[in-house]
Amino acid sequence: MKYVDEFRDAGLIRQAAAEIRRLARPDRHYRLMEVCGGHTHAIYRFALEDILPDNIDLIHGPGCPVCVLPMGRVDDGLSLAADPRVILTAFGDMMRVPGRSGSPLEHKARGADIRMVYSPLDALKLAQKYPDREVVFSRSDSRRQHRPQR
Amino acid sequence: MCLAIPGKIVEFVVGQPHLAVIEVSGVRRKVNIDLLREDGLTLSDWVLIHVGFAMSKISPEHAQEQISLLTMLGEEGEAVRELEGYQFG
Repeated sequence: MKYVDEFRDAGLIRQAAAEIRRLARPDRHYRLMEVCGGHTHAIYRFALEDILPDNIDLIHGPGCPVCVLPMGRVDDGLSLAADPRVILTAFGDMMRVPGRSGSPLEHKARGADIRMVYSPLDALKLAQKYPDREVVFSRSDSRRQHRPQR
Repeated sequence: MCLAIPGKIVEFVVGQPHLAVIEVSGVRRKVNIDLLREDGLTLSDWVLIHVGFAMSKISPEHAQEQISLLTMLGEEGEAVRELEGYQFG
């Protein structure tokens, strides 16, 4: 990952916070929504809202399906992958989502046939190449996780 | 992963009308064009690609904007890596 050092530089962060404070108009109330679970996590972990002026509110939006994936869903996929007939496929970001006994990447390291793909068409190609195996393409269903907001 | 990649159609695949070869930053890969076949695609059209599918046709100007945005976010390497990762073509 690039820019990690810069994102952890307290001096730079304080400068950025001061600049935001300078730019925020006192006659306005700002509401910024982020829609990434990773951002939500970082905002809470580093208490970023504390260094912003009072008239800026951070609203935590739905998050992409990967970030809000319940652990149980990962476990479902991993229990399928425990079957030696199964090839479990997933996108890269899914590979690191933790299940109760580890992430797909960790299970792969322990011998499960779990393969990263960049397209569901790759999973289809695997199924055509290995007709004796059960190829499972794992995806998260965001419709089940989010209710419509008013 | 969540960002669409702009690519230019450089070749249609004989015998495989659902595929076309697109080029991004010098990398050429086949993508599935089934979603856009009714719209009609021609060589040098720019499309937005996501998980192996051409999702929409875009103008060359919009494509350049998207490429600049990806570069600004430091994501252009990731975009090329996704294309290189497609195995279905």
